[in-house]
Order: sequence, then C-alpha cells, then structure tokens
Amino acid sequence: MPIELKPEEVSSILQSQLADFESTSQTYEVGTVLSVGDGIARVHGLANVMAGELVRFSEDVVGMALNLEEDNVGVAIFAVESAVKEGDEVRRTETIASVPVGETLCGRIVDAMGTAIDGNAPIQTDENQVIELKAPGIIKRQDVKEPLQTGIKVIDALTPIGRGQRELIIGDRKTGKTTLAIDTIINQRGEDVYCFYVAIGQKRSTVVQVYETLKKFGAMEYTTIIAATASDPAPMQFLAPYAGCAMAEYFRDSGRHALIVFDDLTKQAQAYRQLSLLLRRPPGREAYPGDIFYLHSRLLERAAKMSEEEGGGSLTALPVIETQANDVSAYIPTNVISITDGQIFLESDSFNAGQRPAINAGLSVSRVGGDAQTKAMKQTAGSLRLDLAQYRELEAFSQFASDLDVSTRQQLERGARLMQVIKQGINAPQPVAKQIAIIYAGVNGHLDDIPEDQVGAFEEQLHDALDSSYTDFAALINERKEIDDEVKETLERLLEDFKRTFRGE
Amino acid sequence: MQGSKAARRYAKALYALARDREVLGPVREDVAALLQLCGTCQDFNRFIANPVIPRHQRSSILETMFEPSAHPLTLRFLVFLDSKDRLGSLEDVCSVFIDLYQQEHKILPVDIVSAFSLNEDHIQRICDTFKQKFSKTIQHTTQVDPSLIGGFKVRVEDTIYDYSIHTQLEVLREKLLRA
Repeated sequence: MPIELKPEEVSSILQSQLADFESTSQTYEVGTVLSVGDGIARVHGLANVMAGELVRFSEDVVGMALNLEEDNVGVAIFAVESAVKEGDEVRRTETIASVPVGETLCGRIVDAMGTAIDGNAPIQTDENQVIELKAPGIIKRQDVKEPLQTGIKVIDALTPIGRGQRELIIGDRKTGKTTLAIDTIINQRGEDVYCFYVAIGQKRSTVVQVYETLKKFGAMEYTTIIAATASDPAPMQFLAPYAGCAMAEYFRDSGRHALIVFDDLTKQAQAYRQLSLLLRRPPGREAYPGDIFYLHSRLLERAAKMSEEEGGGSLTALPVIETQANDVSAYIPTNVISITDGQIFLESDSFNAGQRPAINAGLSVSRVGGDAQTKAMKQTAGSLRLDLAQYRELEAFSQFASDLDVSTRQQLERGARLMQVIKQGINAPQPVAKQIAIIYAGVNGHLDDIPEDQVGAFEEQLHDALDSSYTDFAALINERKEIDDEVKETLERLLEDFKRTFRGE
Repeated sequence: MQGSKAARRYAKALYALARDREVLGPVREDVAALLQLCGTCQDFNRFIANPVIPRHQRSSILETMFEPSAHPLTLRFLVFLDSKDRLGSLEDVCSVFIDLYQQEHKILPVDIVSAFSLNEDHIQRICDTFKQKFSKTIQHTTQVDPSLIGGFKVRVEDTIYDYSIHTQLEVLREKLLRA
C-alpha cells in the first residue's frame, strides 16, 4: 500500500492518538468451544449472544452465531475450520453481521463480509450497514414505472423489465443466463444505474471472466462484484446475496437506482441447506430446511421502487436459477417463480438450434409489462408478440410450406424473419432507437422480401447506417418517446432508402 | 445451567435431601472430590462408563472404594445412581450440584489470571471489588500467564474483565491502524 506521509506527520498523528488513548479495562463476554466439525462450532457459554451476531475465535477467524440452544450455541465459522480447536476461547463482538456500503465499492471485487479480494487497497467507507434488513414497507413504495433497458431486443420488447422489478432468469446450465445478466449490466453504461453482481458458488475462473468482460466494456466503473465462490465456506455463500443487497440498498435509499444480479440462487439454497443440516435443523422436502422459501422471499422483497417521499430510488433484482432438465416445477424454481415479478425462461433446445438468446417467448412473462416500456417500444412490440405466437403455433407445419395457403405461408415467412430479428450476439446490447428500428421493420413487413438468412446482415448494416447516415432518427425518437406521425414517416423513409442500398449489394 | 436434564434432576434431588438432613457441607466436599476424580482419573471414567460390568459388582466396587471416606448419604446416592443405570452422568450430576450449592449460598467462582504471581493483599483487593459489584462471596482460583505482560484478567462466569497490558497494547494497535 503506497503511503505518502512525511515523518513529522507520522509523529504528530501518533502523538494525538496516544494523547487520546485512555487506559481502560476491556470487558467482553466469552465462551468455550465444545466441538468443531463441518464448519460448525458448538460453543458453551456466550450466554447473552444475539442471533446472527458475529463472534471472534481468534485474530482473523470470525463466525456467526446461528443456533441459540439451551446449553450451547451453534456458530458457523467463516474460515477453514482447522483454524478453530476444541477448548478455544470465543469472544462476542456485539455487532450483528454488517458490510461497508458506499460509492467507494464501485469497481471493486469483495467477499461476503465486504473485505476486498481484488488485491487493491482495503475498502474504506463512511457507513456500515447490517446485512439482514427488513424490506421497505408498503407505504414507502410506489409502482414500477420506469424501464430498465437491458439492451436485449427480445427482453425489452416482449418481457420488459422496470426499475424496482424482480425478474427471474431461469434455465438449464449453459443456456446463456449469466450472459443475459452481464449484457444488461453492460447496457447500463451512461445510465444512472449502479450495478452489483453477486457470484454464489461459482468457479473463480468464471468470476474472473465476468470481471474481464465487464472491464473490457467499461462497466466496472459502476459495478461491484461480490464473490462467494465454490471454495468459500457455506455461511459466506449463504450471506453473499444479503450482503450485496445491503450494498445496493445504499443507492436505493438515497434516491438513486441500482441493479443487482444474483448468480445463482440455486447455489445459495444448497449452501443454506448444508448449513441447516449441519446445525441439525429438521430437514423438509428435498432435505431443504423449512424456511427455504423465506430465505429467498426476504432477499427479493428488498428490491423495490421507492415512493417520491423516500427519494424515488429503486433496486431491480435479476435472480438466476438453474433448472435440471428444464424442470420448472421443481421445489426451488417454483418457490422463486412465485416470488418474482416474472421470469425469462431459457431453453437448451433453442440454444443448441442457434436461437440465441434462447428465450421461450411463450413461457416468459413480465408482470410489470407495459408500464416499464417507453411508448414507442410498446407500439412496436405489440404486434411482435402476436406474430411470434402465431408463428409458434404454425411452426410444426413449416415442413409442408409448399402445400399451405398463401396467408399461412406468409405468416410462417414473417414469423421466421422475426425469429431472426430477435437473435442477438453476446455482449452486444442495443440502444432503444436501434431496437425499435429493426423490430418496426420486421413487424411491418419491410423484411418480407429479404431472404431469411440475410436478416442478420440486414440488421447489422441498418444499425451501421443509423450511426452514420441517419443519425437524426435516434435523436428524434429519444426526444418524442413515441411513434407519432413524424417519427413514423422518418422511419419509413429511412427503411426504404436503406433497403435500396442493401439490395444493391 | 448445563448438564443433561437427567443429571439436573438427580442433582436437585441429592441437594434437597442433603439440605433437609443438614449435611450439605460434607456432601458438598464429597461431590467436589468426585468431580475432581472424574476429571483426572481415566480408569474411573472408564469404569463408570462400562456397560459390561454387572450391576451388583459395580455397586460392591463403589462401596469398597468410597465407604471409608465418603459420607453415608453420598455413598447411598452413588449406589442409587448405579441402580438407575445413570452412573455415566456422574460428572454432570456433580457439576450441577456444585452450581446449585454456589447459587444458593451466593458464591461466585472467579478465575484470576495474572502476569506475575499476586500476593494475598492484591488478591484480596480484587476479590473485594468483585464482591461489592456482585454482592456475592468470591471463591477465587489463581493462575499465572506471562503472556499478559502485565496486569491481570478476571473471569466471572462468561464475562472477562481484562486489565492486562497485552490487551491494552492490542487496543492501541487497532486504534493506530485505523487512524
């Protein structure tokens, strides 16, 4: 750590510290470790310890008192358990688990206790916040009314997310869940949203990849990564989402906007199950403890849109759940689906067939919907949903394309092109204007005479053209925020112009 | 109060009986000695934990061991425990008994750990301070731990009153680091 102090300064600091130093006795409460095993220590004593209080085993080893029983206290150890031995003294810290919160966290990687793990200077903040906090009450909230632009066409059009909403990203492994979340974070560049990415039970190499991606796109300036990776003890993995929430709430409660991604909550549930079983709490369905629902509900309820009196800030949550074999009716997935305000369902079949993002538009829903969309997008996307639904119904008949009547065939053609429109590359979020341009083209038939496999190229070139030749369109639509006559006319003209140049190639 | 529910019940029974018969003093001494025996003698522990030895043999061994020195009530209690197959909880029973005795007689056990061995005068002054604080009679044990550097620590049940130099230096260190 580079220190820039002159010798005189050091002496004077020391002098003032020593002058203030009063020699008083220290009084603290202690207990003795009865047994240690599996990350849990049973402690005798600690008669006045609070539930959830941090206790100290020695210099660096801290634990959390979770089970307050008649004759012993069950403490979850936040370290490798060889650090604690039977007979060790355990001291109360008289503080409930809390983390540092503030703007200095942006750009850092921290663990579940708020300690920096990115090798840079320790975290210095003015405030600490308790990890477990009650969600804001009903009166303090208001309806979700502003959009959170993810930059992903299919989400912003069909299942739009608002600021203060909880939208679940659910799917099998390797279906693009983390990518969706990362692209959303990248798209917040230039917006006023502070982002938090909580990695629970993941590989450290994956967390590094996420960090590198975010850094590459300049997203680390406003993002904090909270990492409780696979080799971290279960209590850290269990607490990490709450710690992240506490850090994000700092912005929510000060009238600003924050986004938090929990990747993923399945691993948090497993860590909590491990902890509960070792604490000998009674197991329920699938060996999960009885309060597994409460574990997730109290976490996700903290994502909210605050009322104007409270500052009008918001915290949007994007929890991620991994399913096994697309089974959304399993225990944990159904729990979290019932808590969140909608889900984005990713399918491995679509993913493997090349439809990426592999979103199942039929099963995906956003319960906030239209309120979280700009009017322009609402106008454009309305027909998109219908066309895609009709296409899905007719898809099975696409093999008999030649035997069908004209209108059915047209619907199939239109649907196929729209499916191409909603494809999008990795780490390539798009601003609203570009999204509206291409979706408008798709639903209004401008793509019907473009071969299906060239729709991607069309889109790419259209976006380039919007950046170079038709720059006034983006400004116009951002100002009007709806497709009125002037916007419509501009867009139609633009598309006609562009199509001519495109076909020319 | 620790100890299993069974241990507590037996201890309470013995205590109540001893108090009624006004033989608390001798019984308490016996119990303290038994507690120490359990804590130090491995053979004794193995003996009382062993399920293979038949009951009559166990009780005759107990009688042989304790008849000359123990109070008759204590001996009868041991045989009684044995008859209920509860000899395994003997250590728990004894410690609960001591706790009950100390609670009723307002005795507070206090551990004093000091950097150098303290003379009687110092110990008396420490005990008097705590006696005033808790209004109980102080039963102290002392220990020397050079790692304290100077001063002393007093442990009362679960609370430690730390007046040692070592801890003062720790506190100072924290303060300077945080500055």
